Amino acid sequence: MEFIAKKYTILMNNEPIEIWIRNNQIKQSKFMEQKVKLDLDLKTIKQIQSFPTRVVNGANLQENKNFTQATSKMMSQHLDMAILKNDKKTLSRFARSDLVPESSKENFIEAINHPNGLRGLLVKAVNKTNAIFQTLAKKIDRYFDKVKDKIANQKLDKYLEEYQLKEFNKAPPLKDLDLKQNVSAKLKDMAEEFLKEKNIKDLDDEKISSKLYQNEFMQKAAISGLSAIEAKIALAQEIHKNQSKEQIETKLSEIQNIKKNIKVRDTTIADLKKQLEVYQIKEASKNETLEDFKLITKDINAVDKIDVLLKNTEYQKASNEEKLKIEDKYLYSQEPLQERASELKVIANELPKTQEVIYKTIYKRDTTFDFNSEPIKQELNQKWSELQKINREQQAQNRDFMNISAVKFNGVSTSQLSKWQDIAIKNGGNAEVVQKYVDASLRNAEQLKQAGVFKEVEKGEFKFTDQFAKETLYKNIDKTNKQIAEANKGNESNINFNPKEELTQRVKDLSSEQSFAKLIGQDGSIDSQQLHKFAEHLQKLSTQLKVEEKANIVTKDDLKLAQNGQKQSQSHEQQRA
Amino acid sequence: MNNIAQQLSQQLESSIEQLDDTQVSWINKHYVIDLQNKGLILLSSIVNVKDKAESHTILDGVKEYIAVVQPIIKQIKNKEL
Repeated sequence: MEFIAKKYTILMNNEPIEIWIRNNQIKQSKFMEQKVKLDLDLKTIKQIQSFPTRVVNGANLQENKNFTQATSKMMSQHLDMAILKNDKKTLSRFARSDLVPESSKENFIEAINHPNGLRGLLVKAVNKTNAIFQTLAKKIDRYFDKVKDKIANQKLDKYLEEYQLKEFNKAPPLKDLDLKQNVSAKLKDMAEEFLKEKNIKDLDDEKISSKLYQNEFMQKAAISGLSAIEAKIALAQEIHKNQSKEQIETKLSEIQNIKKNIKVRDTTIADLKKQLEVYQIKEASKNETLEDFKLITKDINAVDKIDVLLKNTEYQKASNEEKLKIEDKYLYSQEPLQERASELKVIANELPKTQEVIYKTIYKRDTTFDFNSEPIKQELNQKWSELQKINREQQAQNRDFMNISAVKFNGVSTSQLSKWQDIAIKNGGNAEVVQKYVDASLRNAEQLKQAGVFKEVEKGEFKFTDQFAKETLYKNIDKTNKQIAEANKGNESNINFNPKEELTQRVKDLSSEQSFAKLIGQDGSIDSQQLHKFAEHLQKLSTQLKVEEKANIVTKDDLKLAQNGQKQSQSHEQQRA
Repeated sequence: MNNIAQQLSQQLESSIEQLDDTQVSWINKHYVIDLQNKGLILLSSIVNVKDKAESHTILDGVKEYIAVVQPIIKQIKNKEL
């Protein structure tokens, strides 16, 4: 349990995002010094909290899809709002930043307003694909549920076994591991007999005929008092035994490939469903007055509400000042009074103990060049060819060549290496030398993982931790792993923190005018007891904050200094005279 | 899976791969990720849905999807997004 919200800064190149986190929840977020709505999942929040300096490089989070998508959406919405408000300050800030397409920077402002501009092209594509999905859903009954059901056919509750037996076989899908699982000897015999009796050579989880056979056998097992799930496994094991090993292996690798390509999780489908809902609301609902807006966005979250608000006629017509008030009222919810009061109480206790300024060292991981640019590509290819030649001549395991290959192929992969191994041997390479090279490459990848350059995304699949790590390896291919690890730390940079200022800022937010406006209900009622407590803490705190301000108090030391200064100036004047 | 479906799913797969959000500026990443996710859902449905009428509808959807994302892929390659 955290008592005070903590401020975290995410550096998106030159534009930081400031977020306040308390109890693993984002309480407030600011971008370009304006309030924004940023929704991140718990995993991402924890990842941000894991940075001890509370300054996070956005580049380090780019691999996190939740972060990338949410941040990008927030920025895009912020830009849309700036366009609507004709907020030139924000627009020019975007134009100066690295957050917009580099190539179209010059005509950026023009392009974002232009429906046929690049941004318009993206928006149109997203809308068109939304329409495609709407049509699919209409033509195919409950389209998403069907897709989801087939993909996420996960293990069912054991108490549902009875239900499973009545329905089509819904036992968990088989994995290659299941084929090694021990099942009872009785089941094995039953399965063997069953397959012979029905003359079954193969079973496919997708085919209804196969499902019927599986179901029949599972039913048979259940009647004999054996586990239905194990029965499905026993059946598969018997088939496995009957088929040649090679066939099974190709089949398994096919399945694995399909699974690898289709990493659709329930959340993706749920997200898309939600997004289509917003799309439908945006396209089809009456969204003229703010009351309409309130009604149609009743069940959608604040981030999605922004998209609908941007289309609201009353909001569009409002002055910029009114727009801000509407945003405050409809988009940003305040924390409950009791929560605020307790946080203020803790702040009041903490404040006297906090230091003025703390210096902290952070490591910046800003990249300096683009691996997709033609000159870099050419340079990389040339270096790679040179080192390949050396590697071939030496018939050894050249480490520089391993490193540059990792850069060229964006990581090290066991499966890719074994493919290469096959080709190399077919082309007349010495099998022993080739094998040694593969082993050494994997050992090197393991060491680079220790140096923080790689992360192992799957067993035997090494990817760069971020673009900076890739750049580091490219610049230091011939250095020792220790030197690489040192370079991969990032560029040291000192920043100063002002915890006192942070607390003051938090108090200011908690006690802002907008924050209080929300306390009064529609009928004008207010929780007087809570308000009293809140005011009490606030008063105590403001007295404390004033006392802390040095300028208001003249100490003995100040007087002494002033006296000395006067004496000195007097003696200077005497000397001149 | 018949030939047309196989061909389309290959095309779809390569389209999804080319919709690479790491090559796009920050303000546009979410659009590209959105298109990627939709592509993945379509791909999974080609593989999984066996009903003839349904699979016909999905393949039509896939064709439309590929046509819509082609210009985007071009822009990504040209580093314009």
